Amino acid sequence: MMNNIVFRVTRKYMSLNRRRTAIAFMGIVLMVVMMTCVFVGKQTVMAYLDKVASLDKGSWHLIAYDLTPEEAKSIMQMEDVKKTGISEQLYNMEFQATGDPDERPFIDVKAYSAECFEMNNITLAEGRFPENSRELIISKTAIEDGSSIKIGDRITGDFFKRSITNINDKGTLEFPFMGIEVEHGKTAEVPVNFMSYIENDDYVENHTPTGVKGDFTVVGIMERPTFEKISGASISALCGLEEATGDNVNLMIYLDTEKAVGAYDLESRINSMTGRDNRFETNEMLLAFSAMSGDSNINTIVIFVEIFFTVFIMAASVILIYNVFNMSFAERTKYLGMLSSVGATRRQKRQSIYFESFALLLPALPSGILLGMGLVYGASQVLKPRFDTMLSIIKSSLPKDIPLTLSFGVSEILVIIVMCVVTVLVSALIPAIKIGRIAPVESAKGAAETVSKKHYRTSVKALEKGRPELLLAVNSTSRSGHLTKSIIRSIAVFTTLIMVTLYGAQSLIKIVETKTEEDGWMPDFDDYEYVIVDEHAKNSYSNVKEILEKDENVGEIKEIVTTSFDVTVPINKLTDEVFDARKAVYMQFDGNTEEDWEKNREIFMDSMFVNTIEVDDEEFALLASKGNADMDIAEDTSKPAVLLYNESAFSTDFYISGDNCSGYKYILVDNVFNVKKGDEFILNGMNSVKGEVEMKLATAGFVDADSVKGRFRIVPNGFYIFINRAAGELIYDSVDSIPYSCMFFNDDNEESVKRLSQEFSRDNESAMNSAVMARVSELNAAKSIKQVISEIVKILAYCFTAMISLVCLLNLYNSIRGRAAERTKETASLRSIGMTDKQFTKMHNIENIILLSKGLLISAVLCTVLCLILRYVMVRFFGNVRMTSPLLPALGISAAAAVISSVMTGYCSRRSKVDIISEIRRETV
Amino acid sequence: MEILRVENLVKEYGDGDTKIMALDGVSFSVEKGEFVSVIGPSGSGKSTLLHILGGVDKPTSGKVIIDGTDICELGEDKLAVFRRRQIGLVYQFYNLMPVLNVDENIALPHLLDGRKLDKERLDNIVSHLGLEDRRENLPSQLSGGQQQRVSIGRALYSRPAILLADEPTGNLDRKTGEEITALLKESNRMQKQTLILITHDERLAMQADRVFYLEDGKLIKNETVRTRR
Repeated sequence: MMNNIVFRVTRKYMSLNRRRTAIAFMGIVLMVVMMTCVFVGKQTVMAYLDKVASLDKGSWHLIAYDLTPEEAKSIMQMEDVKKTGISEQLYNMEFQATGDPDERPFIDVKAYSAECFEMNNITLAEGRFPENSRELIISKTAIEDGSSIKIGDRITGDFFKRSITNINDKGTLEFPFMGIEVEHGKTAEVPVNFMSYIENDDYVENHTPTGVKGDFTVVGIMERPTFEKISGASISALCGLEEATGDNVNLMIYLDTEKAVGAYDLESRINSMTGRDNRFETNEMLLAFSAMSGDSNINTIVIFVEIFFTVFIMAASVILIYNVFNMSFAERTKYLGMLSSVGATRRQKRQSIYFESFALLLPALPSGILLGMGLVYGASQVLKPRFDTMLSIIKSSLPKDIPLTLSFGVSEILVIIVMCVVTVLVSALIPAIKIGRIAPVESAKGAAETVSKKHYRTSVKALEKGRPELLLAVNSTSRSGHLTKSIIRSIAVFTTLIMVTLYGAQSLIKIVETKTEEDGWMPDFDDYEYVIVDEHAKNSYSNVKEILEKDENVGEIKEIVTTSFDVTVPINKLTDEVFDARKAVYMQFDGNTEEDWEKNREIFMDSMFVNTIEVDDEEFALLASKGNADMDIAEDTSKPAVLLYNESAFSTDFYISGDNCSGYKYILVDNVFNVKKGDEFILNGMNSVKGEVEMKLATAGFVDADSVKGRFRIVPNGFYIFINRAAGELIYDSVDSIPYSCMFFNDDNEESVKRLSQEFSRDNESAMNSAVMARVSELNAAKSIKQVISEIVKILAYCFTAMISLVCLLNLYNSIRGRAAERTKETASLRSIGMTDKQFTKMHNIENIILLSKGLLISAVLCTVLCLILRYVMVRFFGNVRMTSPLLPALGISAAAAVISSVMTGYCSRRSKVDIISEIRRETV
Repeated sequence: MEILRVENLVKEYGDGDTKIMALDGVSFSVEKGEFVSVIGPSGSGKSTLLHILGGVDKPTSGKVIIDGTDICELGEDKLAVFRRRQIGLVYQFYNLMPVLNVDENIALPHLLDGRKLDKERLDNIVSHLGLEDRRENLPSQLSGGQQQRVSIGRALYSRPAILLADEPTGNLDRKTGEEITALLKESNRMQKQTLILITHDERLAMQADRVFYLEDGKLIKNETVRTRR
């Protein structure tokens, strides 16, 4: 390759222009680094989260229950199924050696194939795994309950299925979280981990023998598996599985993430294969981190973030590399002209540009990839404690020491290389075409820009008014070609890319926050440290309150009472915006028509429940004053009054009106209630004796996110109202309601806090005590998987914006430096005819203002267009979430561009304060 | 009347073994309105002398007194002001501002001095230089000779005390070179403009009132030419 004269000359010029070559190289390295960060970073974080998810429930995406051995074999053959483990449910058996015969009298035995132990993260506390169907390991819970069971012991008995019969004549017996409903006199099968039988008036438990006898030798004690329920009546036990024979084979499936569409796609294929609706369990956390979740929001976010980051990196890199080539156009024209005069063809001239690009890319690839990996590793170590904290909030049982190691495969490296090659090709394309197009005569003359024949009118005003700095600045910015354009372009690119990236990142964060925030209200009190939440219907409520009030270490108690599905608002009290939003969401579902809406709108709107938040009168008055409400009504504690939270969101996630939703819709309404201050506000509710009841409250005014800020945070998927104590009494007296109380308090005494914590612990499930105590800060920090992803996206988005800014900064510096370097002769000439430093500074300042104005003007147009396009794409992806206004960041970035370009111009000009003599004797500019 | 006096001018570059003596004790004086040419082989110190006289370079020692001011004592800003008021420089490679048209280039030093445009003078100069139809052209749109004429116009516009020309015809063909020389001589003769011309063209040098011969940084001959052409 080095025998090619064009390449040799190009190489020579590359080494002559070290600084320019270094900047181009840095740009390409930065591009590779960023690509590596995106692809390896995503893979590393996802692999870590995958590991976390696997540690939680196991390394499986889906479990298909109750299959025949043949069906299981067919599924194992499916293309997108990577790994499987077979298990068989043997059901419950009496556990003679139990340490807690009241709460946990049974064992629940499952037969596991060897793969299942690994896929379900079964870890041994002692002993070994079962090697056949006669060996068994039992959960450590048995030992913790006080059982004397040990390795070598035998467990024998008959297996049975559990069921319950409703003996309560009050009506249907419901266990909503287990999906069990039993009518009076009827019997229903219950899961193996159903709670312990306690003699009660509601149901009796039945045991139906399966016909299988169990005779096991205990070979190990396992750590409590994640599927074992602490409140269940069974201790988990696992035996080996030689061959599945029954019709209750369970298949644990790990999908091939490269080939699989998702767990739900596999579910429907299994259903159509078996010809029945099978029972499945999905590992949502693991699916989410593989972008195969049933929650389309998470999948879309993961995919969108990857595309968004890649596109922006490519754009920033293309502009930087293009600029580097474009700036050296004059010099290139000259040496290529020389080559052209001795017979170099257009193709050879173009090759010169490509040679330089790839000569830089070649060393940039390994160094960029290594640097990127280093950066990902460093960042992952810095961010790990944050991830750990977030994950431990989701699942306190997760181990804290999950290693966060670099994770990537050949495919990631290949993608990085391909993306970088494409980016460099695109960057070099226009300069290469331009160079190729320069006519041989112009090439030979070394004319970078064709000499035009146009006339340049004398700047009479500047001349007559004696403003040489203005004359020079105006003309140098309007009459010099590629260098000025390059700076204007760099300023435009700097502001546009950072602006659009920031806007994109902030919108993405906002979208992710909106879509991942759990709807509802949260207190935002920083003046209370602890809270106890309790249901009024439980006997414990008055006891809890009494305990707190009697505790001398507990200070003032602030009580907030809330209801969710007890009262509704009449539809005539809702605005048209609410109807329109609800309709837009309704129409988003396939098959829904205008006629359907008109027919059903009353029904849809009628079922609009209002969430009530009852606050004490002092708090009510405070919120009212912040919301500029009618204080006469707000401060009248004797009459029921309401403050209406005038924001509500309607989304296809929350208001489901069909099976298939074509695209996401999210509409935020900020004018919800069709009432005025002082108007009567009606609430409807049901009373088991009186039937439908109507409650009248006085509208004190309206509040929104801003006016409740610092006291409450509300994610309004629905309607929210704040009511005073009198209104609370009216509602609870009028309708069948089971409100929840949140009792906020402070307690400085450690012993007292410890005692209360034990009393109101989540694990303390005694019937008399349903109250749960938490730190207010923990309550506010409670996060879901989606919120963890939101946090990660936020961190990545800001890191990414910082990196894009770095590329833009490099680009701007390169342009300013290039212009200053190419103007050294001009500078020397001006100095030689007596231009002072002060005049230079003034000239540079005027130039800066002109260049900035031009750059910012272009940027304003570009930003508007790009932000609108970005918004359009985001709305298509995520619905019309209210995004942040780009105006303030735009002003900030423009100011930053002004400061940076002034500083850089000053710096570069000082550097170009060259030897006048050598410059004025130099032949060409 | 003496307009320029040079006293024992020394200029050294480098140090130790690499020390080069570009000017070695050069002294002379020039009268107002005189046309002096400096001649010598390459590396004799001609350009160094001109740069020091023009205030774009500083001597290692010695004095350069122009119209009563020792320019070696001036600070950078004062020197810049002095340059634009008292010195007109004409270079071999023109050194015009590529972004300014003919009019703007000529008027630039005058404007830099904070003075307003003398339109009449500008018109006269442009007309005298034969550039009327090129007034709105940028240097890149002009030929070498035209660019050098603009450069002379720029040097003359502010009525400097001394016009320094560094090989002004070195980059031009013979005919154009002669036209430029004629222009310089005319300004010297008609406007009593002191002119110091650096050249290694002996034929051109001999058109001056006096010729200084430089060799190895030393003024070896200061010769008055008897007949001016």
